Amino acid sequence: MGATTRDPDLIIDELAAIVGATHVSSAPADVDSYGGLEPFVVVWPGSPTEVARVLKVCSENWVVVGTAGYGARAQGHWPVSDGRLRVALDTRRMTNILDLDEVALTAHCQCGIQARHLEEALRRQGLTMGPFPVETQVSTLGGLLSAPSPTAHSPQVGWFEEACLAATIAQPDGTLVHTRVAPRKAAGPDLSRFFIGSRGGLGVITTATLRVRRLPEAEQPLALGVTDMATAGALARQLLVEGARPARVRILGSGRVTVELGESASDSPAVVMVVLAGPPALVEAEQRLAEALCREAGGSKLHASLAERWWARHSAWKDARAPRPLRAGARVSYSRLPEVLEQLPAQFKRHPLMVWCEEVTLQGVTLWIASAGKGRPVRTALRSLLLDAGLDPIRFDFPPLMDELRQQLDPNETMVIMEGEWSGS
Amino acid sequence: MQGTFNPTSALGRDLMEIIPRERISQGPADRLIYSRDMWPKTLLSVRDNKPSVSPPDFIVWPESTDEVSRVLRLASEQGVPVTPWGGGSGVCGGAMAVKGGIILDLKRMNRLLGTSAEDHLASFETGVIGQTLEDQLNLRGLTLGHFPASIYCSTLGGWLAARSAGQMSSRYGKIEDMVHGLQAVLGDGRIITCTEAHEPDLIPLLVGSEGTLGVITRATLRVHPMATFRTFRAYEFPRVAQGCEAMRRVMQRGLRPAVMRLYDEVDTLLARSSGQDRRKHRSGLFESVMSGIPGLSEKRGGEVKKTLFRAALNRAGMLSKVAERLAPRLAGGCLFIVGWEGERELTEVEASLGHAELLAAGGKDLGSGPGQAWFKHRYNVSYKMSPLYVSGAFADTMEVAVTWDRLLELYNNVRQALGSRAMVMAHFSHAYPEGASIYFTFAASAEGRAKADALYDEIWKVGLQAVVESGGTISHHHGVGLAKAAFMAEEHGAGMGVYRKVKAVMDPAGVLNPGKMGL
Repeated sequence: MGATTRDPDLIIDELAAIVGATHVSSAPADVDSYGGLEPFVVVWPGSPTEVARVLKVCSENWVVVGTAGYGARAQGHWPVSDGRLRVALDTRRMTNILDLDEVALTAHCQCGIQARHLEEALRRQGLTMGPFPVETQVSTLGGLLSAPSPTAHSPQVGWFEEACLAATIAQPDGTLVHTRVAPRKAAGPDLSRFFIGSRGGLGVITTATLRVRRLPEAEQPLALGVTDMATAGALARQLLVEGARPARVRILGSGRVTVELGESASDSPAVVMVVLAGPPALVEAEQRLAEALCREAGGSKLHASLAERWWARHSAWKDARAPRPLRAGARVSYSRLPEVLEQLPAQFKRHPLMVWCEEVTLQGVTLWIASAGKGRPVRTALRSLLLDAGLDPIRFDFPPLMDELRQQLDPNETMVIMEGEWSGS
Repeated sequence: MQGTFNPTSALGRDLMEIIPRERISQGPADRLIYSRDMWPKTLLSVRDNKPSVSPPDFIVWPESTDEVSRVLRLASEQGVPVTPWGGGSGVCGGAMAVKGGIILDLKRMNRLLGTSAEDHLASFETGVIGQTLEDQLNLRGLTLGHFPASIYCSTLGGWLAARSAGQMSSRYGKIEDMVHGLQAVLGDGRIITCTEAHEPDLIPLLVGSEGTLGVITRATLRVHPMATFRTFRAYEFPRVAQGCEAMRRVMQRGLRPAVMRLYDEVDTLLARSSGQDRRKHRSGLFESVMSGIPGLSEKRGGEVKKTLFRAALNRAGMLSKVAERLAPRLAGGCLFIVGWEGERELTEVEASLGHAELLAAGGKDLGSGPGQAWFKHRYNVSYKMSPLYVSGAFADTMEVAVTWDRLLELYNNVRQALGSRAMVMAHFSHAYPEGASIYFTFAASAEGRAKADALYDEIWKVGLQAVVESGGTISHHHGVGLAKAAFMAEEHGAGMGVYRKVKAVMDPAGVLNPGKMGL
């Protein structure tokens, strides 16, 4: 593969002709903010058509394109290409909510919108994207779809990306693919889902139609203390087995209870945080069920104010920007959870190892571990702990066949794929 | 399978290197049986005693992924078409070997590979028949929650290939929502394994590809605890619009009915006239329609009925208008059935909330009878040729989906498009928070095969055109096959280019299920 041969200034002129001169910049202050991508120019397109035209120009000129929003997960994970010029395609001008349908409860949005702003706009109409962790709202909508966060999950509504009913994808050859909006389809493969999670490697998701929801009529957080984390996992599972659909479930274990609930909860070795949401009668019934299951498990409900304070903090935007320790996570089934927990050490590099579980489904949970330590070696060591426990740490892989598909869809290898392990928002 | 396989061609001998001769057939009876699936259009040929619509050259019954892989490698090397086959119950022609070649019948690959009740996962080979799969899960206290009407004669592989929906999809989702992992064989014989994860994966490509990109040989499915409590209720709504609004309110309240079905006035009339006997209704539109015509008793004789019915369908436009006018008066409204299932405590609360919502939306409570009758007969499908076809007419179904904001528009536009050519009725089912599926049934008649074929094609064309123009999708759960192939470009636009490029990678020799899906 050769280097880009055309005069960079001519390429900049061509890009400026598409997006407007004010939306192209090669100023160091601008290009330096894209981490390892090291672009020679940044473009801020304003529409899907402009994105498609930018991609086409870049493809024809053997220029590499990295798509960026707020860079919540992508920063610093751009593979450097061999001598080719690199363009940063920043979607943050594309922030419009194109249509909000309050009958179908769908929102058609440009993908540069930050999830936080979308959520705020929805809430003004009594709507919400769903009870996802606020930390995911740092990302743009495009970021959440092209590189889905492993934490963007609610037992009530599933993974964030499952709410995407349709999308518009700009491809390197300049075409725009529009997938059809429908509640469910059987007209061939799901092309939206094919592009979702491809980390920009197959094209740029420029707009999406999302399923949205009404804000819950009632909400009830609960803190259920139990004797150990394995029991907590079994309790969370049983809650789902019995048919409850909590908005959120988080299982706090070793080293995490006091961090999240304070010293007053330190007597509980493990706590299941449950947030119930929906029609009041259903919330009340689910609460009765959760408390009964807790008692059966030998635990007890902690004071309501603990749960309420926890939920108030975790639903506030400022929580999204709160400093977080380095963490690593892996999906683990219920059948393996007790043995895995047994294998984890209490201490890690002279700090308590924090353990918690989230993304609770009928199949299992994501087990998260974190430490107060810093730096890449710590993260690597945390991942090693999971590997030693026989787990497969969350990471981004591009399977070999997907690479073949990519070569077919993007023969000039215009699109840069964000690489690397998931490091948290 | 028929007789002993004695290969007379090089391909036959090559196949015998992979599959034992007792699992290969070139017999005329087998080739006849595998020449068509349940696509209603093929019944027009059968009725004319010309059943061999598209016979394959060979039928093979592999017993392992490795055998599937070797057959596909051979076919790919020799450019021989391969059509994967499950139960042959598809209604869009998706399993028809339109270019001859090999039928790959997976039904001998029907093993349960493992379950974990604790983790709610189950792995099967994909040739397993649906009800067998469900029975095996039920023995372990589990359910897939996937109950298509074809459950006795369709396979897991067929469900995955066509993105099937079960009758309780409002609670459990469609089949694509249940996939945790897959094993598949690509066109060139490569075996791949995909697991659901937060990384690019091929599951969304393989599921719904109707065997054009790969042959799914194994699947790990997310399963559920078996319901311990189930309850039904029926209501009557004055018109379709009120019934649709009621469905929307229930789904957007965050409730999870297992099933909701709203019948339009004509469909309600048929359901009522057959005493809620869905077996009768399903087995013969003809019988149902005839019994719904006042004053025409059973004693008047079958031939009179047939003649009258065919004559009426020959003027389907007029019949449709008459039905449209009379049905609301005769039916009294639109039948609405809702069912709930799960653990008793929460299910009762949801059912109670749903009941209040449906009454508030204008529903008149009809009690539990109609819902229980529907549940009892929910799988009754006739395997005989419909009396309607015997009478010289034809019927088919068109299942589409759209968001709530355009649901009535699509319903009216499709009825209008079909109404001048066919008698048409519909029910609304498979409700989701953002929309629902509409299941149109149409019946028509034309003199002679050529005219019948032309009318059949015309009805599909104008019907699907109306669907696309109304913002809907051309298929909710039957798939595309041949029946809707011409509309794939309308459905996907530039996406068809992506699909073709994907096929070039996954099936480089183009041997997998050629002629389907508009490829």
